[in-house]
Parts: sequence; C-alpha cells; structure tokens
Amino acid sequence: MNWYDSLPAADTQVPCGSGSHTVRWEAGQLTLPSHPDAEAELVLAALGGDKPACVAVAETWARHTADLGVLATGPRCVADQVSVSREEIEQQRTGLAPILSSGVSRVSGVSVARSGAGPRPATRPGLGSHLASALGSGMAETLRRQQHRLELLELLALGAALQFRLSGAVCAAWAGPDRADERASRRPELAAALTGRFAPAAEEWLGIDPDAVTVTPHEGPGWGSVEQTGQGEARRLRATLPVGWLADVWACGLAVVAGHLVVAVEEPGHPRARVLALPAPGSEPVPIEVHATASGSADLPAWEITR
Amino acid sequence: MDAETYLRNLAESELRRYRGGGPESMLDATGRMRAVAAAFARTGVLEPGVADAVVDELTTALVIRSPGDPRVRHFARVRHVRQSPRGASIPPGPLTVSVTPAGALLQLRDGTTDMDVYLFAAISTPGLACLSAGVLSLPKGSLPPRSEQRQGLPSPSPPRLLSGWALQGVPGDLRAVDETGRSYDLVFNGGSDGTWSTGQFNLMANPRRQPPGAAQNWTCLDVGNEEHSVRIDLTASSPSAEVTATPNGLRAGEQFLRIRTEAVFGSGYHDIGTDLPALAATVPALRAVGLLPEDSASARLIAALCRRYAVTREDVTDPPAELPVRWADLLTGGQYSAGREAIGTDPPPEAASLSVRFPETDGLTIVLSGLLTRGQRTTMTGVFFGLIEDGYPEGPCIWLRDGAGRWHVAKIGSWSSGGVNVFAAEVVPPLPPSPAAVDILVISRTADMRASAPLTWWTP
Repeated sequence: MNWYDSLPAADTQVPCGSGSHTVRWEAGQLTLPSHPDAEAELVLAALGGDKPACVAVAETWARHTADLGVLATGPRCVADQVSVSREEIEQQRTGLAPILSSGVSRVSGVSVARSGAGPRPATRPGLGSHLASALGSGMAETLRRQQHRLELLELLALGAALQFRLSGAVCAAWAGPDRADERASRRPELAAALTGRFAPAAEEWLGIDPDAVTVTPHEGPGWGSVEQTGQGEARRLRATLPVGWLADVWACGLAVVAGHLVVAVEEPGHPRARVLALPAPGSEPVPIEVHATASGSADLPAWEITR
Repeated sequence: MDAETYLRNLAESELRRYRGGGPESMLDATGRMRAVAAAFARTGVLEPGVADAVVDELTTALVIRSPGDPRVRHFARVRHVRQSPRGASIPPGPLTVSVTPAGALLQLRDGTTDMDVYLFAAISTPGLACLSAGVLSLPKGSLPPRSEQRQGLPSPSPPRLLSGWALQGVPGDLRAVDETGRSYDLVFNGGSDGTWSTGQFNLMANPRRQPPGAAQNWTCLDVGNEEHSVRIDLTASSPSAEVTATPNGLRAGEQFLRIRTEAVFGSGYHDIGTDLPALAATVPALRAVGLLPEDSASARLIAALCRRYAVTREDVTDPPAELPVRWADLLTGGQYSAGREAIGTDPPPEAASLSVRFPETDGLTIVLSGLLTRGQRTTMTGVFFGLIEDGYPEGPCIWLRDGAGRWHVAKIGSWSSGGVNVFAAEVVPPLPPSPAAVDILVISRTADMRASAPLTWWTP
C-alpha cells in the first residue's frame, strides 16, 4: 500500500529541444515518455552534449522530493492557485551567477522520485564545494537560497496536478516511522504544513474560520484527534494528525468527502478506496468506502461515498 | 507555543488572507511577518537566520500567487529582517572621545555660490578627528555677510590629497591649520539636498605625519580656504549638562515593544498609522511565546494609537492607555510636517552649541553637539559611537522639551565614518527660535536618559 495508490496519473508538457514533451507522474514516479533512455542522455550531457530540458526537470524533481520548501510555497488546497510562468523563471535565472544558472550539479536517478531528505538546509542544489569555499559564506548562502528558490519555481511551473503530487511525495518522505527524530527537529515546519492544509478542509467541513484552526503533528499509534471548543468568535478547532495525513489524505483530494472529514486511509486505491472519516467533531471515526467519480481541479479525483 | 511555530502559522494565516491581493496587501502581509520575525529574533527566541527563511518563504509564496503582476515582484525584493549594524569598526575597550563646542561661522563668498559653513563642534577619538557642520549654499548674492572675515589660509603645501572632489553645495577646498602650523584637508561626509548639507568634515593630516589622536590636544584651529578663514577656540568651556540614566527594568518583550513603538515617532516622515498594523501584530506574537505580560503597558499604548488611527485588527485586544504627553504633543503639533523650507524673508539661520554626552547604553554612546534653526526648520547635530542599525528600528529615540513644555522628536539621519556616526536630526515640530535651554529625553532599549541642557546661541 502506497500513499499514491489513490491518485491517477497526471501529465504536463515541458518545452524540450525544439518542441514540447510530455512529463508524466504515475504511481509515485516522474517518467519521461519522450526520453526512454534518460540515463544515456545524462552521460552524453556529461561529455559535453546538451542536457534535454525534460531530463533536467526530472533531476530537479528528484532533488526536492523531501524538501519542506515545497510545502512552504506549494498549494494548500485546490482553490489556492499557484502560478509560475516559464518566462518568470528565465527572468530570475538570468539574475543568478552564470556558473549557477548553467547548472553545475550532477545528480543521477532521473526517473525515480523517492525520498532523500537531509538535515536542514534540506537541499544544497547546484553549488559545488569548490565554489562554496571560493565564495564568502554569506554570498554562498544567498546564492544557495536563490538557486533553491529557482528550482522550486521550476517544479511549481509544472502545474497544479504535479504540484499536489510533489507535495504528497515530500509529505510521504517525512512520514516514515524511521524519521521520528528528524520530524521532531523540523516540528514547526511540519505543524505549519499541517495547519495550512487542514484549515481550509476544516472550513469546508464545519464552516469554521481557518484562523481558528491549529494542528500539531501526531506521533505514535492511532490517527490523532480533532477537538472543537467554544462557540461563536471563540470557536476553536484543535487537531493532532500524523504527517502522513498530508500524503495519504490531503494530497489525494480526500480531506473532505460528502461532509465527512477523512482522518486516515485504510486501503488506498483509485478509483476505490477505504477511509476513516469523522461525521462531526467529537465523534468516533467511521470506516467508509469512497469512489472517484471524475478528475477535478489539479487532476485530483472527486470522491463520493460508496457506502 | 514556540516562536518558529508561531511565525510559520502566522505565515499560513497571511497567505490565506492574501488571496491574490495587490502589492498593498502583500506589503501588509510581509510587513506584519517582518515585524514579528524581528521581535522574535531580537528578543532571542528565534535564530535570525530561521526568521529570515520563514519571511523569505512567505514572500515567495505570495509572489507566485500574483501571476503577471510586476509590482508584486518589485515589492518582494527587500526580504530580510536582519538589519546591518553600522559603525562596526569601533575598537574594543573604553572609547576615548572628546567633543568640544566650536561655534564658528565661515562665510564663503568667492565661488559661484554663496556658502555659510556652520561649525558646531570638534570631535576627536584615537582614530578620527572631525568637525560637525552644516553648510548653507545659495545662489550668488543671496547671503549677506554677517560678520567680519579673517583673511584666508596660506596656499596648501603639499597640495590637497583629494583635490577636485566635492559634494554639491559643500566647499571642496577647506583646510584646517592647528596652533603648531600642522595642516589638515577637510573632507566632508554627510548628506545634502543641494541647499542645506549636514554632516562632518573629517580632518586628514597633510602631509600624513601624525595620528588623528593628536587632535585631542588642540587649543585652536584655523579653518577656511585661501580666501576666507575662521578661528575656532577649542579651550572655551561650555556649561555641562547633568545627565541621569534610569534602567527601565523591563523584560525583553516589553523592552522590544516599547522601543519599537517609540521608534515609530523618531524615524521617517510617513504617517505612523501605516506602521501600526505591523506593530500590533507583535503584541500577540510576544505574548504567545511568553515574552509579554497580559498587563503590558506598551501593548495598551499601541492599542491607544490604533484607536486614534482607526486601525482595527483582531490582535488589538488590550484596553487603550492614555498617551504620553510627548506623543500627544507630536500628534497634535504635526508628526511628519517638518517646518517649511527657509524663504528669502526669513531671518538668517541661528546656531547654538548643545553640548551633552550621554553614558553608553546598549552599546551606543550619544553626544549632542549643536542646534540650528533655519526658516521654520530645526536641525540637531550629534554623534553616535557604537553599533547602530539602519532605520533606527530600536532607537535611540531623542525627544526635546522646549521652555514652554512642548515636546519635539528628533528624526535622525546619520553617516558613518571611521567608527563614528555623525547625525543630523530634523526636530519635529520645529523648536521656537532662541530658547535658553532644552530638556532632553533619550529612550534606548534598556534605559531612559534625561538631561537639561543650556543652549548657547553663537551666530553673529
């Protein structure tokens, strides 16, 4: 069972060479149908040939599949539209030092988009150690931030469907039971990622002001908790949810289904899945079967209760 | 709640509120975030680098929710909450500094413009000697002579080290000669609007044969060019002002909030109402991390300002307090309308020696050196020794009270040179002409300093 089993494949187009190529996300991986032997193309690029844009995109994707910066900048809900144009990226790229904008990084693993998070800072893309030592630490840090931001923008420019899928990959990378210590060290970022995505869902579920919603990461057994207190302007909703909720539920468009708040996925799948959902705050979660009726915004399934 | 979680949750809230708004709402959002990030960073509950990163991420998130709006990208350029302290070249250990009132007017009428050079004080440290000064430059024939002129200084030998360089409206050929005949080139460091310039003339020994520290033994200086000069008596004593310093005894959060609120009055010329939403956002933030008590006096004053400026925010929940008299004086007397520029019918500028040295507080020593009225403008000159941040977000805030009991604030601009920040401050509202004394209140983060200083008006 994988978090992405509840998601259908999604395609986007990337300018590559003289044309436009399809980049596909499917079953948790980014694939390049127009570049069946991407590894060979990387070798050619290392020998001085041009690196296809599709291959560069896949490399960038691989570098950011555990980058919490994706959650800080990416969409919080389907109504939260993030729009990055390729012209804007080119504009920002020209503002970077030439050695950085030409891409000095060498990262392999083109077709695989799996976890690989490191300690903060999450990534240090595109900045060779020789260059870093040659520059003052302040300058190197500024360039690293700029390069990091540029790469994020390149990924967000792939469109809403892939934005949600990349966010799901990041959340899944941080959700593993072997990463509890790392989660503890990045708790503020994970708490904000949860709150920022759960709050719009809670608003849809209960009509509550999203600013009245706070979520803290849940560790340990069970799905967590959801507690509503107060009334009127004093109404508050406090929840504890595991980071995995973001991958299993939110990234798959499952947060609210037919007036139920989904708190966990028992059996992921597309077009059918089985979830645990709360009909109301304070109630016990009930298992329900859901099915996808059609793809909605961001190529996320629109879910309905089967029974 | 820990500070980073609060800041990140605030970023989420700002992002929701933004919803594709224009650059104004982006400025509002990032302004509140920067204010809270600075509050956490300066009170030590959050690493400045982390605070910067959170603001940076929010800025990026806001920009990519405003597609195709170049104004938003423009506003997003200034991102960082960390300020760059200036004057970092101060040597460690106690600072030996001498500030001696000069009280001299040098009238230059031989060039293409008429210039009056007001020399307020001679300032020397082991590494620097300078004369704090103001220069009025007007078209030829505009400035009548006000006193007898001494003849000029002998031709420089060797020639001036930095010949041919001068700021517009400031003489570029001035020298000084001390009582032993040693010669110094005067190099201006300060700001100018083309008509009125304030700053300092640094004395550069020519030829270079002595350290600037020798300046502490001067008894007199002849200052001028080949046509005109003026003699400065540096042995004259000026009445010293008694200074009291009172630690405010506040906790870190209250100290931060208090000095930031005072700084709203002492910095810039914009409507302080525009600063209030960001300031108000720091109140619940500091409370959330346990740095501000429920009965915070500063929070109540911010609430009073918000009420006065009709700033309604859900985080302004404190009962408003009565505004301090100095704030009320400023708010009723014109907080950003400095006096109009001088016009032809105005009397000539009047300058006074104002010699006060405040004890070092929060790593900063403040020395006041002079006061000048011109038309309906009042400028105060002085010097900071130590680290000071751009924009003075944490002061010092300098208030003056005139003989009639009305308060005035000093809006400061400064220029750094050799570890010394010479400043010229616009006194708002302007002081009435020729008071005999002023009460001075300097508010810093950890202490309040007070002095009552006599004014010696010396212009002919």
